[in-house]
Amino acid sequence: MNQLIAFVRQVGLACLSGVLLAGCVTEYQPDSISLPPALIVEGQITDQPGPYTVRLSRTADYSIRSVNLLEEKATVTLADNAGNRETLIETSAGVYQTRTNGLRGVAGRQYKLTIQTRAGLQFESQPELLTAAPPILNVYTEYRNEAIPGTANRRQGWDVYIDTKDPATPGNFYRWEWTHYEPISVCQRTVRTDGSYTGLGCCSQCWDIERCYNCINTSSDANINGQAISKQLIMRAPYTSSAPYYLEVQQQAISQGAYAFWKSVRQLVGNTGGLFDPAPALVQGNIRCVSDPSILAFGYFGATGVSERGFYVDRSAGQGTPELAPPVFVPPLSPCVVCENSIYRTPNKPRWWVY
Amino acid sequence: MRLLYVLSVLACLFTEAVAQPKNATAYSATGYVRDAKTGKPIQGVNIVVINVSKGYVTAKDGFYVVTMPAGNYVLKFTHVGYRPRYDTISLQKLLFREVFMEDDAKDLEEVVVTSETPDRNVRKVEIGVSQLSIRSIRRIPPLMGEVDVVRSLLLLPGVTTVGEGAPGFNVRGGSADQNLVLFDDAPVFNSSHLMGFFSVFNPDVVRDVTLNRGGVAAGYGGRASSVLDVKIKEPDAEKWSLNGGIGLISNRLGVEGPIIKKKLSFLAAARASFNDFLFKLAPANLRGTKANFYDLTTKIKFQPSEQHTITLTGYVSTDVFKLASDSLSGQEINASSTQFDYQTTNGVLRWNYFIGRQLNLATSVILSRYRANLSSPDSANAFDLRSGIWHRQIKTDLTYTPGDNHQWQAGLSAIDYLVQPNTRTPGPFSNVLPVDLAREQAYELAAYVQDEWKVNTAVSVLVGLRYSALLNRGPATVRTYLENGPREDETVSSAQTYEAGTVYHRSGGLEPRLSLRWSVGEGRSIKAGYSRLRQYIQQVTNTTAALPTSRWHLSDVYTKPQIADQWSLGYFRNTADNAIEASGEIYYKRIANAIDYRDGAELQLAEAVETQIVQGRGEAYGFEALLRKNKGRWTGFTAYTYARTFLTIDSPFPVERVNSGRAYPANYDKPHTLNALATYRPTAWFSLSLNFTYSTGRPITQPYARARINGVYVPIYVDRNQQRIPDYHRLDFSMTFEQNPLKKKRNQSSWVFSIYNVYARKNAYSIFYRLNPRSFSDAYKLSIFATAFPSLTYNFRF
Repeated sequence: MNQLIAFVRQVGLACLSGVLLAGCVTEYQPDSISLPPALIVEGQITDQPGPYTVRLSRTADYSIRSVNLLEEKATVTLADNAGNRETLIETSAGVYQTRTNGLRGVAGRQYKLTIQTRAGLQFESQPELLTAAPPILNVYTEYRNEAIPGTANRRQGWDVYIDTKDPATPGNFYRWEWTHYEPISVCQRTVRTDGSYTGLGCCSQCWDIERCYNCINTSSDANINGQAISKQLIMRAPYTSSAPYYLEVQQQAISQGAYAFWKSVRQLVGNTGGLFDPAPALVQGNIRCVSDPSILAFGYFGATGVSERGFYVDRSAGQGTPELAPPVFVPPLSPCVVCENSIYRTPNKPRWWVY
Repeated sequence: MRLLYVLSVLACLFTEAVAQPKNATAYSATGYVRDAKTGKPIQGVNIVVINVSKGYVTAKDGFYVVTMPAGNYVLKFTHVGYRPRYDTISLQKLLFREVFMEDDAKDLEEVVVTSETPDRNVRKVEIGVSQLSIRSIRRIPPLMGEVDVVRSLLLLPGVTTVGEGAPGFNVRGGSADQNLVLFDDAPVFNSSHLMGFFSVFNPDVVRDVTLNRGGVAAGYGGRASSVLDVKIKEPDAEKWSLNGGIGLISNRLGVEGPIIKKKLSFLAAARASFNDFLFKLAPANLRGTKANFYDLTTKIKFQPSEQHTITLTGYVSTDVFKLASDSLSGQEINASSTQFDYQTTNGVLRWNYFIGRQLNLATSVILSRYRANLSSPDSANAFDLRSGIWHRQIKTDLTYTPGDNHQWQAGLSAIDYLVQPNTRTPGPFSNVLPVDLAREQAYELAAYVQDEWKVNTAVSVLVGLRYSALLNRGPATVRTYLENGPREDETVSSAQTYEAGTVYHRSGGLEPRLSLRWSVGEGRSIKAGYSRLRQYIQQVTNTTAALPTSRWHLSDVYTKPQIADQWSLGYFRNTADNAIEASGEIYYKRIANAIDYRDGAELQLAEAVETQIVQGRGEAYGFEALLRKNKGRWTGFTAYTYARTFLTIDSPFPVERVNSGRAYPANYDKPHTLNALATYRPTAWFSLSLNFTYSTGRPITQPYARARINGVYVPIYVDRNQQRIPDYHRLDFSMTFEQNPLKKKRNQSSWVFSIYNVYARKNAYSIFYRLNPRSFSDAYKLSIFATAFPSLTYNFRF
């Protein structure tokens, strides 16, 4: 989507005629420049049950070939202004978590993250106030189909929107995220030489978890304070089946700092260096190096209020046959595969699952 | 001031040294210079007394006075677009002679691009002034068949653009809003149609274009870099005619003629685009794009007597640009499409009173209004964002020519500005909140005096002094910020409200101007210039090029006026009877209070712009060389420019610094530019032109590193403008077929065939950084007009 916007943004202005569009964008290899690897912090505490995760990594040269190293063996501590604190446990390289029944976010409290790296440098996040999120009032869809360029086919889908009501006080900032659970029966899949699939069934009920990791969908009430936020686009459900599409929509109340940070991240990812793009500049976030202020650090540790709703997208009105995934041949009497719980798959029934 | 004094002393010494012997009887030859065909008086004709090397210029009504000791002389009359004319006189008494000059359209010899009178570049006093006649602009291969005034300026040394199709232009290290663009004396705040691809001047009504980039005369002021003076031609007072043209982008139709012969004449010309069909050929995501414009220019001239001339110029230009996305609106509001509408409305009433041979008084009332509107149609989120500028001006200029050696000029000007930054109105069912930013109001007052003084045959000086001031007036609320912090909404300590009409802030000062020409031999001169220009109104935007909706802002308590000081020095040489011209100029410019923006500045709806703007120091310097061939079947020129522009924005507070307070190249810093134009005209009805242009790429900001946040690679930017996009070069070609002008026919028509970007170079328009797992590249290049672009235009005149 970003790519598309970027193209429309530039091309829409630039190429006055369709004839010009061909060959408008070409690959380009810039000179390389670099910066000493700086710490990146990602994570947030919410008013939903934990555990909460903090990821630590390092910046790398801006190149497809470079690697962002993970920051291991750091001491990460989360504390609130009511005197509660908890040291996070490194569950895998660079990933730090609170305990399942550990600290829990409460609206109205302030949260701060402290990091001591293995090299002995001390980093801190600026304290963040956790604000409760207003409820999602309504979730609804609109069917839309558009031509696939260069073909006679049309792509169908349902745009999912929400309505909510902004509190009367100004200074509310939002971010929306969604999670889709796709029920699966085949837990392992391999491609055969002829291009068809063979696989093994799941031992239990199982769902694949889908999210949009790179969608940064934020808004502020600066333009609509105290009014309804209406027709906020959340995602587009594809026509991959005529069965209902299960969706969890999360509305997050974030701080002004977090909003500015995410907005700048979104702008930077979408920046096309064009004449009408603002001069790019990264909002550094709320992480500072306490031991040496000249050391750069990036990222944001947020305190977020969350309200959630489950929703089924009715896809029975789709036209023609859906774009089904290719069939998977499961040999009879083959063993089953355990549905492993991960960020991509779960054997646990989603919160609002009914079918 | 000290410099002025020293120079005048020096000048006096010269006068003493070469004072001519007193001759007892001197006589004058006087008369009018007129166009041979139309009988219209021609202003600005250069008259040279051959062998005596004395020069004169005709006044606004074509009147001239040549005073010489008794004897026989040959006078040479020259002017842009006319054949030179020689007149042999025997001066024994007061002579009255009417001189008719013929159009040079049928000549094979043609002066190209800056087609000034052959030796004007050497003889005139001003430095860094280029004049282009519309005929020479027409010789430049056009883009999509559109003859374009601003695009043709880009061939001049010292003029650059940030990109192909970018609105505005940059002159000697100045931003686009530092150019005062005048269309028959009325300022034009947005000189672009279609978001920047074409300029708003209808080529059918333009007489000539003058760009002052070095020695700006004291009569001009208000912008820090340059003055672009576009003059509309005088309506034909003799006969009616109809002209027009059909092109790929726009179609033109114009009419002119006398209502009362020789007394009242009228001109109207319209231009409109019908290019929506181009988008219908485009891919689906562009089909919603709509882009149309029109403009209408009218001029009425009333000349009740030789002494009084009254002209009324009217101009309207409208653009509609609809994009099927909200990506450019800069508003955090969901929208399925964004529409830009912008409109310029100008009116100028001018009264020229030719009091006598020595005195001329010109008074104008000028109204200029620019309105821009950004809107989104979606009902729940519909909004309409309006902004505008109202410029109302009255000015008067008095010219006094006591004798051959002095031409005095003095004038007064008062401008009343009203700037409406942005007003957002929600649609009827919309949830968007209304916003109404406070209007900015001010008077800009100026007075000047100037003398063009021929010290002796070798030295001429143009000395001017201008005083300008800006008086900000209420209603207004002025914030006070805490002294020990950056200017932010959070650091406001108090706010003072002023009633309507109260002048709450004044700024201003003197602007000395000086040009000096020293002829060092036949066809050779050295010129020097100094000028100071103050700018009180600016367009604030942190994008590389301004959008039509970008906000204008008056200088005030916090935004200090930009002050540019420029020193220039040049050497000019003509040889082979002015067939070959060569010149070199160097300049150094310092800009105080140069403007840039904080990282991540949000300007459109900022209640207090001072929290987003940062000011510092600008420095520009460069060298411009020009070699031109004016005569023969092949004519043309080559211009090379070396130019650098740096900004330094420092502050005690890190958020108000740019690049940690170190000097960095401005967005429009393009060190090397080479332009060449060659025209071959073997017969009177056919010509062929080739145009080549090369320039260094503009600076861009490249990410220093990447972070992985949320699974997405995020570029990390540290310093601005440290890298450049690849160099730009392009070759254009055009052929013009005209009817043989030697066969006198009432109806004339011509065909222009042109190819833009002949060798189809994919020049970089922008570079964007994106890591795509399917590619090994770290960045992508966007090119526009990435192919050879042919076009055909038909022009006619009945």
